[in-house]
Order: sequence, then C-alpha cells, then structure tokens
Amino acid sequence: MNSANLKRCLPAGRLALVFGSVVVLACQERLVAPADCPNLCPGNLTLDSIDLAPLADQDSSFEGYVLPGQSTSLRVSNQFPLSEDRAVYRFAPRPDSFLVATDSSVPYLLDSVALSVSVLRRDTTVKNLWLYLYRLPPTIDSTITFADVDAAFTAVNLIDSLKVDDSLLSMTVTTTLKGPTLPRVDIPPADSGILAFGVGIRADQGTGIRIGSPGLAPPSFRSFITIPSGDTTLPQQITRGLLFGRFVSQSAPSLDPSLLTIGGMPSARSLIRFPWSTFLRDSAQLVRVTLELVPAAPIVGLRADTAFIIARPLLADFGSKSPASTSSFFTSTVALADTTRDTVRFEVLRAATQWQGSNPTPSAFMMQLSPEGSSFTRATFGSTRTPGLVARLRVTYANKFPFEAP
Amino acid sequence: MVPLLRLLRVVVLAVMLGLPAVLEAQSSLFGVRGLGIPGRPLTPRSRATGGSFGLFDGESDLNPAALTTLRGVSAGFVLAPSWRRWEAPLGDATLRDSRFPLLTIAGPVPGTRLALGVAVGSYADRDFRLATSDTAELRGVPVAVNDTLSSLGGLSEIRLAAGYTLSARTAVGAAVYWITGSSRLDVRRSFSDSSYQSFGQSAELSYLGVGAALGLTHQLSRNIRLAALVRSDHKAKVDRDSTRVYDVDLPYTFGLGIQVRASRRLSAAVTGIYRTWSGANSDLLAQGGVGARNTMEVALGGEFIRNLRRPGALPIRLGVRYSDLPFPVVTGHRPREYSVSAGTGARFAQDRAGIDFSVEQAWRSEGSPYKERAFTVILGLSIRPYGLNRAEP
Repeated sequence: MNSANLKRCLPAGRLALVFGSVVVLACQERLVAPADCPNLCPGNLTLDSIDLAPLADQDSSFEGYVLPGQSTSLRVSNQFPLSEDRAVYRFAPRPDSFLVATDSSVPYLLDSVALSVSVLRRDTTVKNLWLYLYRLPPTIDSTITFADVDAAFTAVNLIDSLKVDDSLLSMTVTTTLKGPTLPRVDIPPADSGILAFGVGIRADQGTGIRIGSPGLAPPSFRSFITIPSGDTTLPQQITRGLLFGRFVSQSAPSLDPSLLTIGGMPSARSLIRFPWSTFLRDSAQLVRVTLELVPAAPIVGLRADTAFIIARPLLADFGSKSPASTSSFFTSTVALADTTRDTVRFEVLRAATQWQGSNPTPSAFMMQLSPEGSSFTRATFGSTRTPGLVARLRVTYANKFPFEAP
Repeated sequence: MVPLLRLLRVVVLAVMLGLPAVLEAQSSLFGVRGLGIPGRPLTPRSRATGGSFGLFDGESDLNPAALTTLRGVSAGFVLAPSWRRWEAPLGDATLRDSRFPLLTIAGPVPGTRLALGVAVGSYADRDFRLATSDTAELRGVPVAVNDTLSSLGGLSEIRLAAGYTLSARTAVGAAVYWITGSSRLDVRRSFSDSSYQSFGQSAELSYLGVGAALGLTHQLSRNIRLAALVRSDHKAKVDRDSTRVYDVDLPYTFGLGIQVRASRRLSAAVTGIYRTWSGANSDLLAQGGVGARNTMEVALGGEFIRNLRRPGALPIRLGVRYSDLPFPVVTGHRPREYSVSAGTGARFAQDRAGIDFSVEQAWRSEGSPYKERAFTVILGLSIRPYGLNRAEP
C-alpha cells in the first residue's frame, strides 16, 4: 500500500475503530433509576388483606392417632399437675443356656445384671430426681392399667433407685445387680426368661420426665454370665432387646367438643377447614398467609421440654383420617413456650399456594403436636363454637398491577 | 428487472435480520409515561444536523419523497448508545443504554423515475427500570418495601415507501406504516419483613396500528430546496397479554423544511415538524395516564464539505434542535428537549461502504423536579452494494 492510499484509508480506519469501540460499549446497559412512585410510575402496586374464619362447625378434634409407646419417648411423672404417668418395659426372653456354636449350647452361671434407662428430657430446675425400677409380671401387655402398675410399685418389687444428675438435661442411668441384689432380677422358670419392670420417679417437687421408648433410646437389659470351658470358665454377656414399652396415665382428659385440642394422651389432632373463594384460588397472588389460633387456656408443658404444633395442609379431605402433607416445605411448625397464653401464629403461605390453580388441595389443616404421643403438652384452642376465640386465616395478597396504565 | 430483484432480496434479508434489534429504541425519563419517548429514525448524518436534514434525507425514515435523492441501492443500520443523567426528587442516577433506531434499505428502480424503500424505525420507546423504597401498611403494621418496575420495548414502525420524480425539480412520495411492537413489563416487590413473600408480576403490552404519509421535495431554485410532509397515524390497538385493553389515537404529523446551499461546500437547513399527540390525551387519561400534548420540533443545522472531490470524506456537520415531548411526567407540565449535535462520516471501498458518526447532547425538563441530560453517540453503517452513488440532498 503506497502512502497516498494509506493516508486515504486512515480516516475510515479511525472511524471503524470508533464504531467498533462504541458497539462494544453499547452492549452494556444500566437502566435502574430511583423513582418516587406513584408520581412517576405508571400504575401502583397494591396489596389487600382479608381474614377468613373457619367454616362453621367444620373445625373439630379427634383422638387416638398415636398410642402410648408408639412415639419416641415414654412419659413418667409423679405429682405433676399435667399428668400422672408410669412407664413399663418388657424384654425378650433370656435363654437358660448359652449358645456356643450353631448347634450346641451350654448352661451358664449368672454373675450380674445391668439395667439401663435413658432419660431424654427432664425439668432441670427440679432437683433430686430419682428413678425407681419395679419388677412387673412378665405378662404385661397393652391392657395394663395405671392401677395395675401402681399396685405393683411396692417395696417388695423394687429393683433399684437411680439418681439422675441434677445438672443434666438428658442422660442414661444404669444399675448393676449382683451378689445380694441379684435375686431382685431373678427370673423364675415359670416366667420363661422374661423380665419386665416399671419406672416411676420421685423428686423434690412434682415433675415429669420423658424416657426412652421402643422406637428411640430403648432401655437395655444385659446379663453377665460365665460358661464352662474345659477346666475353667469364660465370661460372656447376654443382651435382650425390648419387646414392649408404653406408659400408663392415671386419668385421661376428656375431649371438649367445643374446643380444638392438640396433643396430650390420648393424642389429639384438630382439623380446621377454611372457605377459599374462587378469587383466592384463581386470581390472588398470595404474599403472606397466617393461621392464628387463640388458646382457650394457657398452654402448659414440661419446662425445658419444648413442644411444637405442626400445621399440615390436607392432601384430601376424609375427615379425621385425612392424609396431610408431611413435607416440611408445606407444613408450618411453631414452638410453644413453657406457658403460652397468646395467639399462636403459623405462616402457611406455601400450604395455601396448594389451594390455588386448576387442581387445588382442600383448604384445610390438620393440626398436631410434636412429639406426638409422648409430650406432656396438651393445647386447647377456640373453635367456631367459642365466640371470641375463633381461629382465623389472614390472607395478604397482591392485586394485579395495572400494566396497561400509560 | 434483475436489479429490482436484487433490491427486493436485500430488502427482505435485511428486514429479517434487523427487525428484532430495531424493536428497541432510545430511552428516557420522559419515556416512562404514555407510549414512551418518540423515536427519531434518522441517519447519523441527519441527527448531526439536529434533524434538520431529515426531510431531505432518503436514507432516513421520514419523507418518502426524499427517496428520489438516492442514486443507487443503499442499506443502512444505525446504533445509538446513550449515557444519561437522571435527576428526580428521590435521587439522581447515571444510566446507560443502547438502541438501534433505524434500519433502512432503499434505492431507485432502474430505468424508471421510481424509488422504493423499506425502513424499520423506532416510533416510541418505553425502556426503563424504576427502583423505589417505601413503607406500606400491612395488617396495620408499617413494613418497608422495595419495588422495581421495568419496561423493555416500545413501538416500532415498518415503512414501505415509494418516491416518484415528477420533474427535474419536484418529487413526491408516499408511504404506508405498520406500527407495531411490544413492551415487556415487570414489577417486583420485596419486603423488609421476611414473613412476606417477595413476588413479581409481568405482562406484555402489544401495539398495533397503521399510518400513511405523503411527502414532497421541490427545488425552488438552484440553491434552495423545500420539503414537506403530511402523515396520519391511525389508532393503535393496545393489548395486554393478547386481550384488548384500549385504543389510543396516534398523531397527525406535519413537516416543512427548507434547505439552502450557501456554497459548494456549505449547505444548511431548517425544519419544523408538528405532531398532534393531544389526540391521544383522552385515551391516556381514561387509562389513568397523565395525558399527552401536541409537540413542535424545530431543527437547524448544516454540513460543511471539506473535500469537494470526495464530499463523503469527513464533512463537518452541526445542528441544534428544540422539541416538545408529548408525555409529561407530572400532569399539567410541558416537557421539552434542547439538543446540540455534531458529526462527520467517511466513505470507503470505492464508496460502497460508509460510516457516519454523530454525537448529541440533550437537555430534557418539564418545569417539575424531573430533569435529564443525555449524551448520545449515533453510529451508522451504510452499504451501497452496487457502488457509484451517494445520497445527496
């Protein structure tokens, strides 16, 4: 390229360079600007709220969902204002010989027996807590009553008393019986190797505890034995698993049909149905949905043993046997303080969104306690039959933005 | 016939490639309300003269009679990045955006006095994103909220135009416009209280209208040329998510320009354009808008050719412009815009390609606390695939 041509091309080249640079810059955008709406903004974003009361007489409570012993812990209490409970355990039979090979067994000599019980929750403000273990007949089953158990809790049947450390919220207490105390857990041949015992407590003041159940932290029953081996003996151990465990209560509170009851034993759940309009189903953009329950009486439980109420949206409405969502994404859980007097509020937006669209689920909640069937907490709330204490669903939604406003 | 087919082929291809991009145009604080800020589908050359050369420019999307000034097929593409300073009562902001206000292909039909052209240009732009913070009383409790409202899009026009040379001095032109486009709007709200779920809503507004224009250019004397334009745009139908929400009247446009060739190097023009946007006033007010006003636009500018042998080599172009804006931010105010502009350009590859460049500084206000300054760079790339010619007002 000669100099004349080069000189002629330079301006175009420079312009092309500018053009390219600006094209690159032009690809970057920053559009966000502060504004004072609604002065500047076309249209205005508005939210509305409505309060929905449950459908009249469509809110009720049902009992018997979880039996004592089916939950994660057993209740034991003494002179506790909320309940009077005893726990009972029955173990698998202990064989009268020790299996040394797949096809041969030898008789053994019992040296000692260790029994352990796990304390899962207790009130740490109550001092000098003692667990009392009493022998019970090997025939105990689900028909046993509080009176049966209480009658067996005598000095004759006492296996041992175990001190619970005052500083611990939960712990496992163990007693080892040997020598003169070993007969307390002697299993006569008529009992077919079955050991059963009950658990009671004493403390400086009336209180309750929760101990291990067949489902979680069950008690243990270990027998330490010696078996013959040539000219000497060998130490061995036999451990038997828990076959049966439950607790029995002195009295069961009656279900008040005018209230919504949640928790306690027999375990109660409450079903609450709400009206859900076609507008809410099809058009409302939900922003916040809150379920509010008003306690009919202060909700009291075991101190330091927090109970939770779970609002589970129904998947289908079959009354007391309605299946409800178990997904934590859709359920709402509220922890109850030691003494709850105020309105209990559940944020149930995600559940309510299931009530929208072309295939909505029933606009209802099943309310239940957690841990169900083992907590001392029993909550009662107002229903549509108790004016002034009626539950409500507070729905806040966004109206459609008037995008067409110029 | 072959050149005509070539022209049609280029036209169709360019429209297909360019349409999506051209649907976006320039944005402004004064484009938030109404239909947006009116577009300026002019070449960088016309923009550099404040728009005063627009009525005489065959490559701009304004006067169909000016198509007859083209000596060959020309395809052009315009890019306009903009840097803006937004001043509003709640705060200032520096914003940046880029638009593609014009794509045009036009040229004479060989062997005839006819010139044809198609252009896709910006009609009105409504690009913005507004952020606000406020307190809303929800369930009787004040809750801090943050809102964002955004709009992307606007109206574009597709022009099919024809110019006819009546005589050596006079040319006329006619055009039909298909006014279309859409705005994608989105609003979002978040709350300081996490109990409330952040949410968003969105919608698409689509527009459809038609228009027609008649144009004239007349060589009054050797050095004086006149141009006139009359255009009528019919109602635009506005749909929200495919459901008709309202119709809005689009304006009549009356334009008049005079271009003077003061010497072989220097030419100047003054142009006035009046648009009856107030026809949309009642339609917009009925929808809760702030209304619309008629607008008057006056532009004065000139071009100095530095090299008579190569007039396309870095000429100097200058212009000033005043324009009313049709849609106020606050009801009752009269928004207006002043701007100064300058530019140049170069042609290369034996005049088959060219780049034009202009810059424009605009001041917009309406007597309310809302003000805006905008600096826009307008870049145009034009191609004349068959060479030999140049647009010549």
